[in-house]
Amino acid sequence: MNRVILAARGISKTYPGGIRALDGVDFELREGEVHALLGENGAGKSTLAKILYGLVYPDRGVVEYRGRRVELLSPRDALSLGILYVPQYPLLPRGLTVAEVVELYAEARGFRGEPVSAVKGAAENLGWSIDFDADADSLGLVERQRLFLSLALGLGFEVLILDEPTSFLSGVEVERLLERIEDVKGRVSIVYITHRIGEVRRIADRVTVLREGRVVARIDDPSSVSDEELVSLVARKRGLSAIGRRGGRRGRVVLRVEGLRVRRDDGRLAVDNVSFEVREGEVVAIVGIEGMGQRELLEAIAGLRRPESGRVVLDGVVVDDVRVFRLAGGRFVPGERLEALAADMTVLENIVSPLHAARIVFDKLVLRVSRALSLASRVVDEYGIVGGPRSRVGELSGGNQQKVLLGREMGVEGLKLLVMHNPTAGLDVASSRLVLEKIAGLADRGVAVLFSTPFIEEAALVADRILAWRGGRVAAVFERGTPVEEIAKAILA
Amino acid sequence: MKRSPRLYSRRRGLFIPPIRARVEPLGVVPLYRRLVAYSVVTVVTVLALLLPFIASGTPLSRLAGYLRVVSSPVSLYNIARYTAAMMLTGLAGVVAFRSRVWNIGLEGYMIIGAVATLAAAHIVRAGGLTLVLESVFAFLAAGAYGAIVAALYLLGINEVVASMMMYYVAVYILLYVVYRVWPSAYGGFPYSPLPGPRQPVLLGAPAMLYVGVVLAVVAELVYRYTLPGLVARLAGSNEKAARIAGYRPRLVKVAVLILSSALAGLAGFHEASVKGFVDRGFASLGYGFAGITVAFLASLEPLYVIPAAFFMGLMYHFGSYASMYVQGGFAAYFYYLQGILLLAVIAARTLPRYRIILEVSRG
Repeated sequence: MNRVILAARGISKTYPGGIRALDGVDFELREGEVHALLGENGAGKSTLAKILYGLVYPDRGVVEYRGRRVELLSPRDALSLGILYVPQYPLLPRGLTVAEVVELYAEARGFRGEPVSAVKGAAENLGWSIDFDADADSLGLVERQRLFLSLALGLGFEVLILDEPTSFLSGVEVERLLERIEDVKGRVSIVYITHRIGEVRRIADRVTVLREGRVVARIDDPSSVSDEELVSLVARKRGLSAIGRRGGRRGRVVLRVEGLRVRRDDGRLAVDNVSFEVREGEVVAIVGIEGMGQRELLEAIAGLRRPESGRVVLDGVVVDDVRVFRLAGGRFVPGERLEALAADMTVLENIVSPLHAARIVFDKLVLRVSRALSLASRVVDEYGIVGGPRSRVGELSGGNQQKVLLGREMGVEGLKLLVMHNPTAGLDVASSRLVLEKIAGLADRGVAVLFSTPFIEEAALVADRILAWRGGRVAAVFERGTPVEEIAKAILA
Repeated sequence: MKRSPRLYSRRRGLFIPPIRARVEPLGVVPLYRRLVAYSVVTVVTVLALLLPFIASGTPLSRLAGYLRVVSSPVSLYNIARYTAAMMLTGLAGVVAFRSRVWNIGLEGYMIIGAVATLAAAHIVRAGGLTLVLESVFAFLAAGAYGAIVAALYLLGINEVVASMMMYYVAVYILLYVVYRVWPSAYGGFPYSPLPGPRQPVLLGAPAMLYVGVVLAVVAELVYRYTLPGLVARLAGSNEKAARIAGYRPRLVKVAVLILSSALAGLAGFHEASVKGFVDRGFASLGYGFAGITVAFLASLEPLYVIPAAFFMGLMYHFGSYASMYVQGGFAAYFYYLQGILLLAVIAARTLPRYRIILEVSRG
């Protein structure tokens, strides 16, 4: 058995806002192996990778390189040791040529020799030609990945950390990348981060499975473990039982999305010509791998992001602004709960501040304290928020913050359309069930519900229709009762 | 292919000290970290503040000399006068900073307020209503001046830069008015006398002190019990949340920027109507910049502006009178004190939330 080259021991990390990303994680990478770090979104994979690269510093625990404890105070330290991290979408500077970027990495690595020709040679060995005079920022994703793989080999990096490299690639590109990784296997030790079991099967020598910030399994021989076993290790155990729906009573169209195209903040296309409808009393779930444009789609529907083309019509009104959205009866729960909450304000203030609630509790701009208190107390009771209306949101636990947000969006009258991104993220089983039951209850009272989730089982529990989301498009539409495996196939195809 | 020049070079140990550091934000801030940080900041602040006294060789007698300055009726009036000015600029600071608008050129709006007071007194003779009219003029003129900064902000120019530069513009407007528009008929020292009544004195203090207290209370009520107040706080606390809630944080910021400027303008009215003239000394009264300190000392709470402004008023009194009456007194000390206090307040707010990792590298 090969020696351990890079190790993390007892790593814990909590981010500002109290989100615990890692809790006592141990991880070992052996020389020459491809070690898959497997887990679903939010399991802590990327945080661990960033700690191994010096981008994040752990609260507790140590990193060892070749058996010696190292302090990674910045990526420079990692680079000089020989560790290279390649994020999902590697950012490169504008105004520098590729050759200059290579020189920067060579400098940080402490590379002696002619870096550009070394990297060029490594690229040619892999069958690639890289334009070293091009502006670094002009490279496409595939070219960026080729550059970093060539960098790793050409400049003598010993550890390569690939963070979900296939997320934004098409099927052929994925295949090509995996082939190249197999080619370089043995010459460099690789940490391969993914949530795709197929890729693990294909290239990994060993697997460490993370779930909710802890290691749940270390597998030395992946071929001995079945796909079902891997899935059950990765997915959080929810055990949600069926939720009753009063089906078959669909009313008029509440939300109409027509030919929507939306870009990400960095200009890449996130939503590509998407059209669908949601009717009164209908629950529609968008199910897909996280980070594939769901956020951009939902923000555009809520009037928070301007679409490049296409339009959103809510109850006959064209939504071009979040104000219009709210006044027309729209409610929005973003995926990151802290995005929508003011941590230094009270539960009551957070509940009454959105436009739709403010119209009820403010009379000619002046707060009616008794109305506000009764509204807030009702939400607090109904959603089981621990801590009263007067406690500060920043002092609540993550789950309770989520309930404040859900309660204020779901629990105030005038609701026609509810749009939610990952409504059960960060909630325990009981709270998740409560939320799904509320969704079902609202729909049965005639509210149109649209939510996005990476969990197929959750969507299947309450949704009347499931839109399988892939590559910024609706890849397929499934009616209630479709087997989960069939939906999974459409998403992961 | 031609070789590009070395872009970056670092030789370990030659220019870079062998100590390396990293600052990492903490997820959970334990109470003991806060207590330790507050204690350290307090001790360091007190030591820093005592340093000039200790350096003088006779610290106790110097300190006693300073304290003696406070105890005359004239002194009490002056302290009230400084307090009123800094209550207004402090409120101006709170209103802006609470919504995360860094309108730090408060001194400039104050100058515009003083000039507007002068203009009102010259142009409109309103008998008994003169003072009211002057204050309204000062409020509106400074607000309009702030609107320029707001317009620049909407064009994408940082409000810190814009409001600071507009301070310098205000200084030249002041000089033009004092030298050219309404210069005094007599004397070689350029100043513009204010026709009309002076600010009345109530219970030994200028009337604007009471106005300031009322405004602080009103601001507190607006923040707590009105929708604009709630939205102003929300926009400062979390801009994205304000957007999601259905508001337009940029418009909120424009509004508070203008309101904050207008409030600072009232401080200009106050000073002009107390003195009965406007002169080039108005370019550097210092209440505007002190308002920044007052706002942070009050931890951006309108009600706390009252004690914070009183404390700073006391310090100003020492500063301005100490150099006249106390042997070896030096006004500069109080600028020093102001800077140290501001640093201390900000340090105490920030330090506990970060962990500093130091490593001494070998070889």
